[in-house]
Amino acid sequence: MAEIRNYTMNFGPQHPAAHGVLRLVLELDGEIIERADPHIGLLHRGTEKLAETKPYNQSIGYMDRLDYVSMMCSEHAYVRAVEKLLGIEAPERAQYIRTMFDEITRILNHLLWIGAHALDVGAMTMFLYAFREREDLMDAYEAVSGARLHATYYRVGGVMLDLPDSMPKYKPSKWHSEKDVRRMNQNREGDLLDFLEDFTNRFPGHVDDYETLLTDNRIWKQRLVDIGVVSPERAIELGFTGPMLRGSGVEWDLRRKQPYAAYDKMDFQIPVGVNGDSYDRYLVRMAEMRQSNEIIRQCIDWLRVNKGPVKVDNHKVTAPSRSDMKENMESMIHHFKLFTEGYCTPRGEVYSAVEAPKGEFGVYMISDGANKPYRVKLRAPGFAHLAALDEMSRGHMLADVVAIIGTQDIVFGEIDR
Amino acid sequence: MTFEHIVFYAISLILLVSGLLVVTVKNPVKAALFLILCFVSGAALWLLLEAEFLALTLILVYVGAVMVLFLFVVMMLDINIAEMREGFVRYLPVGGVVAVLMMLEMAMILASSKTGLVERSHPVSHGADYSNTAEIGSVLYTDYVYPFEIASVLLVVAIVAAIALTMRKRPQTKKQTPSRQIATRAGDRLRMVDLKSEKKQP
Amino acid sequence: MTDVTTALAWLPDFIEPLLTWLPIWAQILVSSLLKIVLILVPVLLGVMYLTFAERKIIGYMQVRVGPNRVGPRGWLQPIADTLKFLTKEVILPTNANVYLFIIAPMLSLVPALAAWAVVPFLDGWVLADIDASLLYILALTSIGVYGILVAGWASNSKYAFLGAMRAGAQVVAYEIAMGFALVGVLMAAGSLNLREIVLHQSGGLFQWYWLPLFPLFVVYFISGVAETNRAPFDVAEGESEIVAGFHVEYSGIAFALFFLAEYANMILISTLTSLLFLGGWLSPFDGLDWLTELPVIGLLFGNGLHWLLIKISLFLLFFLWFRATFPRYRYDQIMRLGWKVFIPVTLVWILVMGFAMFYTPFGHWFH
Repeated sequence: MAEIRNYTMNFGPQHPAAHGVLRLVLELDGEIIERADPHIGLLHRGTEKLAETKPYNQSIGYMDRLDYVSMMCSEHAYVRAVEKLLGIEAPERAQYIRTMFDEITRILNHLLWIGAHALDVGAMTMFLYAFREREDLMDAYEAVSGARLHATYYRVGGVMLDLPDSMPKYKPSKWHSEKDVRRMNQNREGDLLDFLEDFTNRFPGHVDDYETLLTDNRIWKQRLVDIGVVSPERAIELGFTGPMLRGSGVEWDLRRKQPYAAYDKMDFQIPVGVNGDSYDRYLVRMAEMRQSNEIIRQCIDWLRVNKGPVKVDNHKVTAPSRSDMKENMESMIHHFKLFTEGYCTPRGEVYSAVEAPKGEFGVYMISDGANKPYRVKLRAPGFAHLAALDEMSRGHMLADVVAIIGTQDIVFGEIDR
Repeated sequence: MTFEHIVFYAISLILLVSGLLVVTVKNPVKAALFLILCFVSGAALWLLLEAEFLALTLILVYVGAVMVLFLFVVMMLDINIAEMREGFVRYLPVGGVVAVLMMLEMAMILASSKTGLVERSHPVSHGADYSNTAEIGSVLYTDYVYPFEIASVLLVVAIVAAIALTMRKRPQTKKQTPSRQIATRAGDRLRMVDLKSEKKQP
Repeated sequence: MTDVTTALAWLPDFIEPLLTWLPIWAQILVSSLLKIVLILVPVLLGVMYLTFAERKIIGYMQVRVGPNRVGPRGWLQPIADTLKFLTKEVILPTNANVYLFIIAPMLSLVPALAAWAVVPFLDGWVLADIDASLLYILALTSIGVYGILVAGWASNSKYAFLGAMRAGAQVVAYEIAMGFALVGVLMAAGSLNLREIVLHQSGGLFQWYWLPLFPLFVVYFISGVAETNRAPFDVAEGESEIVAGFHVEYSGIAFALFFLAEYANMILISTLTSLLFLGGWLSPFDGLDWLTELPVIGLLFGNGLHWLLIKISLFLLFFLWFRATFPRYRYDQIMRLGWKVFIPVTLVWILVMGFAMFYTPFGHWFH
């Protein structure tokens, strides 16, 4: 009789479920996974080294490009690290803006995650539904920063600009009549906060729609329940963070455990799973979207009433206002120095972490007193998660690997850095 | 020569040639595919005999199910042709004797009008309203009901035995129970925790 | 055997005088060919516009508009697609078995089209009114899997091979459930002939077999979805797992043939389900004479091809709806559903039917 042999299969890097450039070498026994060996490095851009060769402010944009679905959260960790080094703190209004945009980012990320995850499991409609809502949030990104994806909106000592008074509007075209455009612009008549408030009112209904499609769907349950189970102890040992850890039932959230920005003033709950399988992680993320929505609402209410500066008044660190610069020699010099040399930080080392949508995103920075960091190390949550892929998928079937990649919410920008 | 004759000889030719190719072609997958062609042309011959039930069942059962699984196995096995041909000369005498015996037996049956081995009557052509499905059914479930039932029991035993023999226990495989999966309620799987905010870091 | 009058049966009257100068056999041949054209051209057009309908309908389900650039509102899109397929290169992978690689798409298309030979569109409107047409359909749908198997093997790709293996096991499993569902229809109608099965259901909505054979109706349609490898049973293609499954290495017209076969099979399954369980061309108002005798609109309420088309469209809509709604089953879960759910359900219902028909006074429900 012929010998029964396992065979290996290259899953990716060009694969619809590879979430970018994941290359998995799978050892299969029939359809059962014997070993899953993730290969990384195909998206390596040397971000850490690049950040070490540039003045502090010029690396913020790189952070957007790490996890390109949760842009502002990575920025947040970075600017907080520099602020810690400098020993400054952003004004309160900036803290609230950051909190609000962190949560917008969380929803953006989770929307992309649920879309891609459902698509991996075969429910393609979710993807388009999720992108419909993402579109609105992208518009919010665009309104504050001019960019829909890589915002570079947070700055050391605050944020770049205050929230805009008006939203960009659609214009009539060959494809959209005056009437269509009027309907489409309905929620864009006010300022950004009005637009976002309208979104927060609609969004829970949309999440209900998603849940109707998926949560109690028999096939969805059959594909997720008891797939990729991780016990709480093991989740901690593997270095899981974020929804991956909470899905296993560990009550841990940096927004509560090490509060930053305005999170200590926010009223929200932490969803925690029970079994640690893919279904729990799905539920956790869905509940997180609802909580984020609440946080955004609280931020809107606060930001409406409390005006104030959005960056510190120390022009060694933040850019002076444009008009000031035209009239004031001092400001002109500040501006020139800031955008060429940057600023020097005191010697020392800091670690700052934020609860990014995928887990703990941390920036560890050593300064030797120069105008650029001596060493930057980025802690990407996805890296630890991907490392556990083998353990999670071993003994499952080929189709489950795809579901597990989905549930881990892998994005290669941050893993390869 | 009528139209039916032409069809008969054409199909028989296909049947014979593909039968020959089954045993001579090098690639086992191709051999299996030629065997399928054999079955299909055999079914066509039966259709000419107005045995449409048998013909379609042959396609349904042999071509549609048995040969699919057969092809499965052949495709998955990595058969080494050279190795299989090694013993050809050694087994040739035995094989030759068996082949000659088979041919003799078949000739005796085919030439039964001379040998008197079997009594055969010429197949009768029936009208269009004659359903041989119903005929076969009534014969199968009356005259031959015991052999039929025994055969089916034997088949079930064979199926169970085949499964029992090839079942491999794979302890490291993670199994899910569908009934448990479906019984899962979202409410039981999620706790909303009110974590107290710890002291804000400097 | 066949004579000229049956060969010309439902062709328009003006055909007959055109053919009289030909010998008898040629008349039969030409009229049969004409019928084949009359059946296949609508089927192929149906396939083309089914792809368009799929993109539009799923598009609207997913809050987008679907193709709308080629021609008015995108109506020429299928033609543009066909042209594109025709002009693209058919890439032969290295180390592929060239002969089998090329023959595989044909192997999957031919049974999908040949099955239409016995499908009746109206009483008498059928290419070959044979006795065992139900068996013929079962036999031909079971052959369709060879195209997939051979394609998967000949491509010399692990993804394609996995897809082929999955498709093979799936089709064999669901064929059995389908076969058993048909046994129920056979018991109720007492005939293997599709035309007779339809005529047996005459008498209005509640005489159709969907009601007495409801479990079999459901099993048959779902098995049909599985048999055509459509979502949520599309593991043979399994976009996100095995890329495109058995046709991952195919391009150009060779790929288009697989596509054509899949959609022709979808239409076939929808047609069969309407014929077997929803009374084919019969009107749901069959018994209500006052309605069918109304002037002008009475024709609409009477039996006719339009009812068959409506029923086919309904089932096709279900195919598309499933695709937009459901996640994909895992391969072993499909097997479980086929073997452990559908086959027992059909077996039990056949037993119930047999028992009711011969030992209880409720037998007439099933006739």
